Amino acid sequence: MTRYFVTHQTATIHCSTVTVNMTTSTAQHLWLLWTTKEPFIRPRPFRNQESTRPHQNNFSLQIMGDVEQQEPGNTTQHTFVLPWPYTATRLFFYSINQGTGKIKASRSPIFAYDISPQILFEETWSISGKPDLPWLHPGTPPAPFPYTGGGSLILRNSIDRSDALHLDLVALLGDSPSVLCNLFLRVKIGNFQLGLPTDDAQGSVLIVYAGSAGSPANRDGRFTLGQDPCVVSDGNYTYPASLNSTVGFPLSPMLLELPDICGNPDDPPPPAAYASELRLIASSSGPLNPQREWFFTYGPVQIGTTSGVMTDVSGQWRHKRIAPFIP
Amino acid sequence: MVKLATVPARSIVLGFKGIIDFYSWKGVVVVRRWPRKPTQPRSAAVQDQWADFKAVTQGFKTIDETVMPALTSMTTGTQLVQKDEQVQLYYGYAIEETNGPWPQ
Repeated sequence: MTRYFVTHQTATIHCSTVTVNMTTSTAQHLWLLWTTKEPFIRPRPFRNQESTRPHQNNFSLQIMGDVEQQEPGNTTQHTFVLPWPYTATRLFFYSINQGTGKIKASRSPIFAYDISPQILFEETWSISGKPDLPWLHPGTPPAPFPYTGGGSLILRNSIDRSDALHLDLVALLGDSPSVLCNLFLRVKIGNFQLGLPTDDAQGSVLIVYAGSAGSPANRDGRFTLGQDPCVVSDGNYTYPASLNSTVGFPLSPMLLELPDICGNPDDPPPPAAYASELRLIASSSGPLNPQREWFFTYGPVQIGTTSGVMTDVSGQWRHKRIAPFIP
Repeated sequence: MVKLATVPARSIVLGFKGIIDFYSWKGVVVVRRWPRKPTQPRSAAVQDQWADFKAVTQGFKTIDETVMPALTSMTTGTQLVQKDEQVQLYYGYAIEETNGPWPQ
């Protein structure tokens, strides 16, 4: 049998990936095509002249990527792992097999999901050259999340103009050891800026690590900065070269994930050393030029979790494109 | 097939049941000979398609609630039902993908 149809599907977000599971009627080898743009819908002509509705809709999708199933060979259970497009709020995907000869490839329905991240709390603050500004967080995290500590953000920046720029942002997340599971820290567009002279921007590094307060633990690992995945070596991440020559460069929408401490909910909780602190450090490895001005602005910073936030919106998205329909 | 000006009385339509078939075609009332089941065996190419069609039509009842909303959303506002959409997708129609510019 060269054709198939989908009988069951689920999709979940785990850390930086979206996992899609499908069950098909026949053993197939499938690919998943996904996009974050809404489908373009063409209403087709009326076969029933007495009807005010089009006979059918044809859908066009601008595909952003395709993912092959993880299982080798032809199977009825299919698993796809695609990157979480966290800069978008909607995800559309469907599966397709490989047509043979004159037989067109079968397709699954278009599944639509809301993939908005779940924000635990958001910090809005800004500072320019003020050292040691404490900021207390007044928000209350959602009830299901095991958040027991009194959250606070403390911004510290210190400038040693003879040595290097050093910014230190610390999020104290309380005493719960599970608070850092599936956690991300996101800085919105344009709100995290390092206004530096070109010379000073060279060699800037961004360090993110989590650990207990006062302990530089867990610096090693793999992190993600914006759309550019990077492997952190010695706890440092070097900005892309395109940013190094920009004066006052703003960081792109940035999502700092901590996959190394992202655990499966069924896994045992991480060690207590991960519990209380999430730290973001931006620093310049080269000496600053004291003859030039520089500034720092931050915020808002969103801290949230990446699990359990996919919502099936298949029954909602379509009506926006076709209504009102004029026969 | 013969075109008619108006639909005849219901008694006339029922009276010719099994002999003449009245129906509407593109808004025109027409009459034709009562359709008969073909007596000749279908061609091998036609018979090859029976298994596929049977699989998708009878297998529609196995689709669970995780897939049905997607089918419903694709058929809402049209003359199709979920089963029609499923058959179209099964045969590779109704969706086309593009990597180029957005269709106008």
